[in-house]
Amino acid sequence: MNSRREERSFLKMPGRKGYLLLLFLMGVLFLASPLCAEVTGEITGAAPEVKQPWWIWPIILVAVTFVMGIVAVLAGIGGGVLFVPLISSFFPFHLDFVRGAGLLVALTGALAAGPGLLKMNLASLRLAIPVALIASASSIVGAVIGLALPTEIVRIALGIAIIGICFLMIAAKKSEYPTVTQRDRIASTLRISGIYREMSTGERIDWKVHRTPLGLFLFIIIGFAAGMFGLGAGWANVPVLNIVMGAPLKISVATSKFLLSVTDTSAAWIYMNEGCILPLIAIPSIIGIMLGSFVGVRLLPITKPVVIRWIVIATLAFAGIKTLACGLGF
Amino acid sequence: MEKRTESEIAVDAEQIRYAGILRKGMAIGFAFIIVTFVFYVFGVIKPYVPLEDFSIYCRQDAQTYMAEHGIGTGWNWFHLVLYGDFITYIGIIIFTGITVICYVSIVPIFVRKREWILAAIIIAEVVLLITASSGLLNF
Repeated sequence: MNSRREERSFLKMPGRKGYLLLLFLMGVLFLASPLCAEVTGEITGAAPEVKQPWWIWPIILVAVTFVMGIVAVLAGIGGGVLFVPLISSFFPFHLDFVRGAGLLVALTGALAAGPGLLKMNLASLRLAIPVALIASASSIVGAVIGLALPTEIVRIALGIAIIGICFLMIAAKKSEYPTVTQRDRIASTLRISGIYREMSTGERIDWKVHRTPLGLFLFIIIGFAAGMFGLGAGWANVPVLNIVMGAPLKISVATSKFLLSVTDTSAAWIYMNEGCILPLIAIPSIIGIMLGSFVGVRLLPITKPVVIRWIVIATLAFAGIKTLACGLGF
Repeated sequence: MEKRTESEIAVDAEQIRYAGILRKGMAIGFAFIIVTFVFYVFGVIKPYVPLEDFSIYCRQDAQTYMAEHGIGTGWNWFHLVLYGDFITYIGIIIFTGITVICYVSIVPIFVRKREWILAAIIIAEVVLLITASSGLLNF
């Protein structure tokens, strides 16, 4: 019955505002493409000195990332995972700067959300602290390797990773309250458990985790990918915390968001030390995504997230294929 | 999963402290980044790399950009901090540095609770973040 209802809602229109937002995003990306092509000489064959006025880029970036911030909230994903594939596919910026900005976009989003999530007891420090150490160490390794590899190789790997994320977004299951009968040894030693209040029912929910060693191992891979590609890693954090380790969905989502503030910090330092942060790319993107997120939260009740999620998956898949093709030299 | 309908849920002291410092740090960092960026793009503070060159250097790799403009890796940018493009880095440093301050602030709470393993993990994370920030891990 539920799946039938979900199927029906998938076929419904996402609402006029949802479509307008997506059209706006597509329009800005479409307009940005010839600008990028002109700068890179792809279409016009112009010499490198042909350039757009510098001020056009921050304006376009604020506009695009504003819509991206809205769409990310409506699709239930982080802005960071949209930022790197879309900006690297449709803008002329070098991948080094896009990855650096992508990390800062994910980082600031996590920093902004962190205090509220911690105070509501939804993000758990006890759960995040051991996971963060593993993920941030591997994100540093990922960042160092990602910056040392030739750009074409990173593009190919990024393209494959984005396509993989699309499959993960389609296939990943969620469990509101996974059953955890007994904590494992690590979780018991570190007392990884907690209580939170489910706002919709007013119930107190006690939770604990299991399979911590497997979860920690998976965070090595997640951290590595986050550092290498400059992606926020919420797309992978949530399934591991929720399905593998058995944390309730709300705890998983909130702890994942908080976790990014630690893991992305470590990778961001590596990018910053290598000069991969350009203020004209990073700061308008941070502003746009944050403003978009605020608006997205307000639009959430009047849109159909399921349809928007599918459109985002399709857009990401397109960006992934484009990135892969670009890396392969097509 | 155990569900109960009782009243107050106490939030751990370390979460409260962490959240309070993070909130302040985020607000300061965001205010700083906006103000310095406005100064930068409106030319109130002169940039080190001309804004007009952005369309050229934004498509170079970071190494070429740094080499062509004589910026240098690691903390070498700090001697250029009075230029518009590099003063914006201060806000970014606040964003990337606030986690270290938050982590350090909760160590005494875990020590008081005699939770030595969590305290040790936190200290290890702080060491890792400081090492990453130092540039020692960059090749």
